[in-house]
Amino acid sequence: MTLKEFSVTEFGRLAEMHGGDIGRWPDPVRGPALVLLARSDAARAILDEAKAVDALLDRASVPAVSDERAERVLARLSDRLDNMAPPVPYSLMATRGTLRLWPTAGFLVAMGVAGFLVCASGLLPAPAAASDFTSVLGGTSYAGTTYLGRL
Amino acid sequence: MTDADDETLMGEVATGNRAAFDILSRRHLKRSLTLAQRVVGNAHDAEEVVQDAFLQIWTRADRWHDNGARFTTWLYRIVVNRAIDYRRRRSFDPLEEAGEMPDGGIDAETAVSDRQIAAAVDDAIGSLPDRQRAALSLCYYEELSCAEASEVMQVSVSAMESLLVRARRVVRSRLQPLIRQKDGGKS
Repeated sequence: MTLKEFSVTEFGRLAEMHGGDIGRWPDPVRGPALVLLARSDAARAILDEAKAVDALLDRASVPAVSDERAERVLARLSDRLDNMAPPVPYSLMATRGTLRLWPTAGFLVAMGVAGFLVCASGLLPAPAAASDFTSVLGGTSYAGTTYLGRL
Repeated sequence: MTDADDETLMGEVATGNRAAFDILSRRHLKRSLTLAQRVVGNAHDAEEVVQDAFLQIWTRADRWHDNGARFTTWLYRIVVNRAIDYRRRRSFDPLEEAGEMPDGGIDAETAVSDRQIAAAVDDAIGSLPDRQRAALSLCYYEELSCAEASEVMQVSVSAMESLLVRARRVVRSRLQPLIRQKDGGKS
């Protein structure tokens, strides 16, 4: 980004994004930002406001993570791990997936055979035979228009 | 092994090496807890989030591929996602755009103590939508670059920048009375 392209608007956008410390802005824009800052009252006002927001953000409560707390969490984590099965390597998981294929395939074949037997024994009512091909495909739309079958 | 870098240790963890996992979790626990607490908002839930995150790392270690990605990016992604899920389960999630309105809760005329200021700032950050709060936590408090944070949150850099800008605008808007007070009522 050249100095010519670096407007106060862009400066303001960067300040809103990265805050009032130009040292924390991305490398390529730091130089042009400092140059603009030196010659623009508007840029200085923008940066002052961003610094004020930073100063307040710095006043937020800092989560306290003492050594004792960390050890307590690690101990609980360790307990939970001890009660778990060891991780299954992904390669083995893939193998397991393949092995599970056979019960599924067996079930599907059994269901197919059962379906064939039910149909063959005449337990299910068979639909009336269609008189011709177009009557099977034809019909009447919701709007009442007949199509294909009566052509 | 204690001197090994994160990615080497993660390679060991993927083979089921518990000692490597212990080093890795000890190395990153405090920072993970801090990040989780900033996103989820309280210490107890943060501890649950971090335990779940490290358990996920242990059980899914085989999915880790050291193809140039940093371990911490993966870790923070899990922590942030779990923290956001945790918070959503616990409470109503405000809309992304819902925080733009100023809050009149702080009276500029009243001198406020440090503790009150901290509480007001905590409230302002706590009122942010989850993703904006996560963005602010990663970029401002954890000092990640926008590019790094965008990888953690799995969004584009421009989307990350947008989250950051909106987060800071909401905070500024809600804390405007304090900013004016600090400036002596100039603005």
